Amino acid sequence: MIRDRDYWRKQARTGLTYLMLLIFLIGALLPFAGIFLTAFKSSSELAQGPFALPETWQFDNFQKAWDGARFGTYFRSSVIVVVPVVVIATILSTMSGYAFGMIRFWGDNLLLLLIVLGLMVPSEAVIIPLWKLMGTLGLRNTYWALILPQVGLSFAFGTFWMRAHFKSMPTELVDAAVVDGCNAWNVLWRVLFPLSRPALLSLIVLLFMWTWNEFFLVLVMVTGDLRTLPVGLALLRGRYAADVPVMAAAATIVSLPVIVMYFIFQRHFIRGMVSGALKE
Amino acid sequence: MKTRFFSSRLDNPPYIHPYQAYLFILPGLIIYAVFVLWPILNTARYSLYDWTGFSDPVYIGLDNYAELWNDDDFWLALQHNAFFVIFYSILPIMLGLFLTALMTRRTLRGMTLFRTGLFIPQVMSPVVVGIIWRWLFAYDGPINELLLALGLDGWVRPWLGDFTWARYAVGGVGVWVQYGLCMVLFIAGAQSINTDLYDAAAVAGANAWQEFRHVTLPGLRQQILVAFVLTFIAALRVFDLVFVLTRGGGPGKETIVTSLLIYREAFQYNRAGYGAAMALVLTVIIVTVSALVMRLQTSEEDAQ
Amino acid sequence: MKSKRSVILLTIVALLVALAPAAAQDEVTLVVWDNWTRDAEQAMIEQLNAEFEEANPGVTIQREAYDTSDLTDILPLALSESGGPDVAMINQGFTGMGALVEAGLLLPLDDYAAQYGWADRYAEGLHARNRFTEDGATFGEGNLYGVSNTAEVVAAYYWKSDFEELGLSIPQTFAEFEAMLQTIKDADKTPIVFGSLDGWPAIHTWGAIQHAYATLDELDAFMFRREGGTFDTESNLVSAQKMVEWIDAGYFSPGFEGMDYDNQTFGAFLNHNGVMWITGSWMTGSIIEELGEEEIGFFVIPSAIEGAPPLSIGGVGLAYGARATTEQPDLAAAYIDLVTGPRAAELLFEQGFLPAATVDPALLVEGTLTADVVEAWNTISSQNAVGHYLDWTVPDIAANIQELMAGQVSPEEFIQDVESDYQAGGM
Repeated sequence: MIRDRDYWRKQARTGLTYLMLLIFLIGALLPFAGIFLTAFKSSSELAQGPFALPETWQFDNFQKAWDGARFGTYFRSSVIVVVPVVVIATILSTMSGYAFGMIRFWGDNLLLLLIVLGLMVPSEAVIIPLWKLMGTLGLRNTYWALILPQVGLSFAFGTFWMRAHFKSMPTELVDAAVVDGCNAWNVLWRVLFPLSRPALLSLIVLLFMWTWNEFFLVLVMVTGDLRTLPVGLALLRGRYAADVPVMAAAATIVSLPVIVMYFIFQRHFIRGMVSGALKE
Repeated sequence: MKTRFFSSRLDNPPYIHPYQAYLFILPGLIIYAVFVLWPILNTARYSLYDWTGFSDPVYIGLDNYAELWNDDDFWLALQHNAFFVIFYSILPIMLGLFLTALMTRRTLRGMTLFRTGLFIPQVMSPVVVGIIWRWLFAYDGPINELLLALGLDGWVRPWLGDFTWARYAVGGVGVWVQYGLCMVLFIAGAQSINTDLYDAAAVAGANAWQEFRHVTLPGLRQQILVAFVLTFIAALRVFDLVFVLTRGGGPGKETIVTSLLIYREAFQYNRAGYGAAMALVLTVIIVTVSALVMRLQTSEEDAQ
Repeated sequence: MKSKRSVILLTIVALLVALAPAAAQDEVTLVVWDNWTRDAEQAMIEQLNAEFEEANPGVTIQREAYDTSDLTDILPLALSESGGPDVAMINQGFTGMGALVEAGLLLPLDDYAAQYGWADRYAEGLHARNRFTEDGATFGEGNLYGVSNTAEVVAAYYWKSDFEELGLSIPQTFAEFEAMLQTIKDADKTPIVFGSLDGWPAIHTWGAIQHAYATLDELDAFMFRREGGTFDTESNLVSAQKMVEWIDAGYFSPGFEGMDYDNQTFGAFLNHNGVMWITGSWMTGSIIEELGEEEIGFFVIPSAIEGAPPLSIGGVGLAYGARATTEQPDLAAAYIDLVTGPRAAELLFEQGFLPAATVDPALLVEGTLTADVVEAWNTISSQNAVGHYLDWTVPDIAANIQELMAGQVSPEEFIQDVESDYQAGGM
């Protein structure tokens, strides 16, 4: 092989590509590294700069954030909201995605359009009537005020998502099941569901992330202890707000579950967000 | 691949009835209708009233919209949203394309690592992102310290409180959040571009720029459209980030955005009707642009 | 299918149980909403409530606590719906109490005031802040809709050690105060810790200067939208110019435009990155928690007008009011009487709060921050020198002040901007 100019040019470009990728990668991660390290420091160590390693890795700050700044309470709230939303929305979306994807029925396009509408409208469009509605139902400042709307919104995305998935499944599976005497319900849950793990996992992690990070809805609908982590963090006041390592610990607490989920399921995560995710 | 069956129009065995489809959809649809659809319709209705949110509404027709048209703050907020489109959409897309253009081999080693890391800003709550960058931009924070260390004393300023630079600071965070998304999208897309096209380009003697323009760019059209829609919507809806970074609109009104305005009018100034009108206008803009882009997308799909 | 059916059944049962109305009680329940959210505060109010229940057998108090900003946000809706609170803490001003009065949601309390003698609790000028005409249009006169039990004053916290070091003492005139700033600056320290990122702290800081130059009549006319009320006054112009002067002289924290309140300003003061902090007495508890009672002092900023009392931003805290449609107005009034009375003042003071009513001097320990704060309040309260929070009438004024401080507008333009906002109705 002749190592001509073109070859070296290509090598240079590849090298440059890796370099740029590295720079962008570090850029994306450095701020998090900074805040993460700060969460383990004591206030006096702050002066050494954000990226200096803490002398001793203290968990004091986490303790203060959890108890004093009530992040333990907010964590509980977040879990109480996120788990029902994800579970209920996934089940309902699987059911409706199945119907849209595999059964032809009168009005299916119209209904689908209505559901897609929900994908595109921002939460700003619904927040005022929702707030009023919750008041009328007597649900304001309860967890239901957070769970029900988010189930609704997640259902829109989930239906879309699962429909696309079911449409791509081979019909032979269904034929075989039907021959064996399955009705529509069993076809879904006994046959198709076990084979849908990738799609379901993607959906679950996406819904988890969006619901965990939800801010605007929570800000308006609930107060006090019912607040979820992001709102608790944004509205942190008083003595802990002045304590940077405690704030850093609080921010870490807020991010940890999502990051953990992310690392476990990152393949699904990325695939999910990338394939035309339009819920936002 | 034929996937539609159980159709009422085809002669299907009667063990599946189309009406059962409704049963599957119904539970979710009810919750969706009550908590999403019905509120959307009501926002439109409330926008026609003068209403505090807790006293009796007074019908005023389109007066809210007339007031909106003349409201300087509203136009200012929209302007800022447009400004953020540059930082949320255009710049990250350009960065993503730049990176893709550099790539000569379609598959790189270590891609998983890069992909995983680059995506993390997308995964974090915007509140956490805001807290981190507020700390970074603090007057005695790391960014200014770095500038001092580099001898760039004149550049040190209270970024998020500076009338000229606050918007750019917030925009900068926007770029940081979104560039990973675009890069991941485009790199994945580039990997599926037919290598024959690149060979053909090489044979035809195309240089890097021409190769980019005629092979890479067209091949990435889908991804660019998706990236644009996602980031455009994010730019128009931005709330959490600005709320945390500038505590609601920046120094003076420098970083106020539409969603902040809606929050303020409806929930702090007791003008729910006015806020609803604003929300409706915002929604119309978003839905229109999304629909347009999706139309472009599906026509693409059909063409392919 | 079977499991699904039982799930549905369970859900229906659960819903029924949850929605079933509470069994009718012979007892009377009084629903109260307040903003005592911290642990120590809760203990205090629970004790008061227990005393009330003892004195009124058959009555149970059902209490809900919210953060102040939440309370102001959700109260309007709660009051307009059935099942809302009978008694609640209400924020003053046009957008708070005014809006509620306009919507007819609050109970006028004048008869009860006469019955219980609330006029004696504190000066009439302060009661006026809880007054609105029935249409909610005029502030400061009309019916009484609430009674407050805490007070606030915006003045200067200071590090005593710095004063000692630099040989400074509490200024008696505004000129002295200004001179002090220069002395501190010359000693290479930051005179005033300040952060304007949040917007509203700017109202207090500029307001402190404004109050030094203004008269209470001017301010009252402006705040209550009386005849001749205007922002375009000589004193406001001078204050605006003074502010710009002080910024140029470097009397405030460097980079103050980017500093938020809770995190950076408070932190800066705690870390001794400045000598003084002009903010409200509400921070007393937090400061004492971190630094104790001895290190920090508090003084009111003297007026720039010869012989005038030290007019300072301040007022009474959230007022206890009653829902117009409450079914036990007498009981509600009795509760308000207890919770704004001397017994409550005693308990509040123990918690480090500034009660609106006068504190027994015997309880004060000379030289502590708490004593300083009480003294400050007594000074302005007794001399009718309690000023106003400007955003009650012009909610957007923080943005204007930020523009002034950044040099985006001249002092003259600043005055004009706020004046046109004010004339347009304040929005």
